[in-house]
This record gives sequence, structure tokens and C-alpha cells, in this order.
Amino acid sequence: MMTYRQDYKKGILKTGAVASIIAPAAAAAQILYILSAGRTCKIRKLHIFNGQGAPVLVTIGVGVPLVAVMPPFQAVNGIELTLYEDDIQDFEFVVNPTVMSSAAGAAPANVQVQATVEEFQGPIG
Amino acid sequence: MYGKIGPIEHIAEVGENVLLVEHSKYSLYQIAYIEPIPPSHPLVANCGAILAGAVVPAFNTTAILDLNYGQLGQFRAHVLDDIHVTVLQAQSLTRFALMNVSATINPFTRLEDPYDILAEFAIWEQRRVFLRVVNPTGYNLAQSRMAFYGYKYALSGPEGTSGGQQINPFATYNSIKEAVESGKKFAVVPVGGWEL
Repeated sequence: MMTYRQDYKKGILKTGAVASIIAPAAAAAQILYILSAGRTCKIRKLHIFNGQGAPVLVTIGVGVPLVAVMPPFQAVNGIELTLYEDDIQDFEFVVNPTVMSSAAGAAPANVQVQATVEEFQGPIG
Repeated sequence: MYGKIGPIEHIAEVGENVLLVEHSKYSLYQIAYIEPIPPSHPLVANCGAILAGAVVPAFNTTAILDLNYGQLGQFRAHVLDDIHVTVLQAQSLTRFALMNVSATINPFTRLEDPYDILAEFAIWEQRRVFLRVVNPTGYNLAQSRMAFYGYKYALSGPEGTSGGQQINPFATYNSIKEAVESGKKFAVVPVGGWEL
């Protein structure tokens, strides 16, 4: 069940492209999901794969350079980390969510993140 | 009644009357036959690829929704992609319109209206319906699809049903008052916009 059970409003589920993080800096943050004009969204599922040789901290935020909106998730190297809505803060994004990693390099040492979000209707779209 | 609450139902039954309203004219016909049109791929309009934020100004549904002479279509609609659709009937008139804005059918519509009750419209013969389609997202869409389903009615006039020709109504009225005062019973079906 992908609709947050206690949310007071309903939206549509949409999945963004894979964000590939290749540098460990807030200024190298990647867009996690392209929000439609006027809409807002909450993250309902995250899939992270850490291609580094050690665990990394993956931070979700807004803007580039990234400003965090929730504490980081630790992603162990060499195995995927899948988080569902109950594990993710119910933060409502009014701009594109972005993502950064504490360590990253060129593929295959990149950190890949993909989000499924619930988008909510706004006055434009 | 048109736009009944709940899953789609007939406007009226065989033998009952319908009053078609189009551009402030009222035409009275009798239902001779009803056929369901189930949701299925032939009734999906694909308005094509749309760039981020771009508009398809007038997609013609003629290949999908047109009916033969003497036939009435009752359709409900929902979108299959993240698009906003304005229904135009005729091409210069928006349906679901207020004084200053026109409502759209979009992915959020079904969240509040799971039976597509508020996305119902009717088509008389080949009165063209067009769709104005907007891609509201920040990325390109490879396709923009809208699905239709409903009922088809063969209507009868004083000379009977159509034999491939246009049919005359039992009566025409210039106002709803005149139609009501005729004493006939009918279900009212708008088949076009209202120009004011």
C-alpha cells in the first residue's frame, strides 16, 4: 500500500529517473525528482545503491548546493537499500528534491538513488 | 438523468424520451436501442508525444467518438497519463466551463471522482469533440492518452430510426419552458456547449 495511511490528502504516485551521484559535495547534489509546476510532493519510496567500497551517508534535501531536509540514510556498500514511506519523513517538497552522498565517484563507484513520490495538485498543474 | 451518481448508467431506457440541448435549441427524440461501449483500447485517444509544458491545442476525436446519424453517445473519460485535458465541443467551446476558467480532466480528477461522474459528456452524431492537452510536467511525455467508455443510443423520430440518413426530432423547442409545457416526459442531455 503506497498511500500514506494518515495523510489527509490524496495525490498521484510517480517515479523519477535514477539520480547518479559521482562527487561527494553538496554542490554536486543531483535532482531526485522533477516536480511539476505548482505541485508539491512527498517521498514514498527510495531505492539506493552504493557503488563505493565503504558505507556512505545519503542525504535528501532541496537545491544545489543541497540543504538537508531530513537526517541522512546510511547505505552499506555493495547492497541495495530500499526505504518505504514509513521509514521516510513526511516532508512536503515545494521545489525539486535533491540528493547527495558523503562519498561517490564515477561509475561504477557512483551512488544511485531513485524515488517514487506522491505528487499533490497545485494551482497550476 | 444525465451524470447519475455512481457507476455509469443509461440516461434513460428504450421507449423513453431524451431532450437534446445544443446551443439553446431543444430537440425531442425517443430511444430505440441502447448498446454498451466498454472501456477498451479502441476507445483510447493517444494525443501523441508532448514536450515538457507544451500543449496539443485541438486533438480531433473524430476517429474514436463519432457516431452515425441518429445516434447519441454518452461517455465518461479519464486520463491514462499525467496530462490535463480540456474538452472542446464544438472546437471553439469548452465543456466544464465557468465564467472565467474551464475545468480539466487530469490524473487528480479520479482521486475525488472514481466513477468519472463529473467527466461525463454526450455526443450527437458527428458533432466533433476536440481535446486540448497540456503536459504539466517538467519532462517530455512520449504519449498522452485518454480513455472513454459509456453507452450508444439509436434514437427515433416520427419517421423511425435512421437508415443512414439524418432524422427529424418529434419536436423542437426554443426554450426549456416550452419543452416542459409540452407535457412530454424526457431526460435532458446537453450535446454541446452554451455560448454565453
